[in-house]
Amino acid sequence: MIIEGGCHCRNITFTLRWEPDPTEIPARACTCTFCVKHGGVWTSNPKGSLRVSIEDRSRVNEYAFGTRTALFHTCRRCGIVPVVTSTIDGHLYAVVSVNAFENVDPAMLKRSPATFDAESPDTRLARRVRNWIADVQFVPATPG
Amino acid sequence: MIKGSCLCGSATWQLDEIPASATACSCTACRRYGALWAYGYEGEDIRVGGETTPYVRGTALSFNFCPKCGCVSHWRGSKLDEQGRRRMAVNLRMAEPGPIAHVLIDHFDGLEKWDDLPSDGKCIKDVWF
Repeated sequence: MIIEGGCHCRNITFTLRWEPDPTEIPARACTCTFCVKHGGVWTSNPKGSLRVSIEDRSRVNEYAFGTRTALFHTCRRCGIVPVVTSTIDGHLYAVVSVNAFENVDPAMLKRSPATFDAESPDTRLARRVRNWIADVQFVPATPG
Repeated sequence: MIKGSCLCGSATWQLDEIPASATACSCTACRRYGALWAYGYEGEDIRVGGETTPYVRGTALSFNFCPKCGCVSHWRGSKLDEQGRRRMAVNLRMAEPGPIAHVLIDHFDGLEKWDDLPSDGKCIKDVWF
C-alpha cells in the first residue's frame, strides 16, 4: 500500500510504502507535552519506505525540544506537523502523523496511548532504530 | 475561568468558563490539528495573547498557531456578525488536562455532511491521548 499524506497547504507531502498491505495500522498517541498539545498520533513501519517532498523549505520549521534528538517538521504556512525525524549514527529515521493521512480508512487505525517519559536517552534512540521508518529520503517536490 | 498556552508559552488564551462540551471536527484542517474547540466571542468570553500566525481558510476564518512551536491556539472569524461580535474558538488542548477532563466531546462532520454527529458519550479524558 502507498499511503499518501501531508500538511494542509501541501507544502510538506509524503508517500509511505507499506508492504505487505496492512490490515491495521498502529497509531500511537504520544503523551509528551508536544504531542498532547498538537494532538499528535504517529505511526511507523520499520520496513517501510518514506519519501518526503517540501515545496518551500523556508516555510518549514524544524522544531526540537526536550532531548532535542527529534525534529518536528512543522509547516510555517498552515501549522501542521506531518513528519518527525531523528538522525541516529548518521542515519535518518522517521514517523508520520496519521492525522495527515489522505487515503487511509480511519477504521484501519489501531489507536493506543504511548508514554516514553521514563526512557533514558540511549533507550529512546535504540527504540527509534528498531521501530521508526528506516528508509527515509527527502526528494524534490514535483510541480503541480 | 480557564487558561491555555502553547508549548513554548508564546501564544495564550483565556476563556471565562469551562465549557459544557468541546467540538472535534473531521474537516481536512481540524483533523490534522487534532484540535478540541470551545466557542465564544473575541473580547467577551475569549481573550487571546501573544504572536500567532494566521492560516486563512476562504472568507470564513483563520486558524492561528504559534510561529515557534506550531501549536494551534484558536480560530478567529474573518468577519463580524450582525451584532458586531467576532466568533472565535480556542483549542482546549492548550489547557491543563485536569480541569477539562469531564468536558463532553461533540463530534462534527466537517468533511462531508457539515452537520453534528450523534454523541458517543465520550469526554476529553477519553480522547486526550
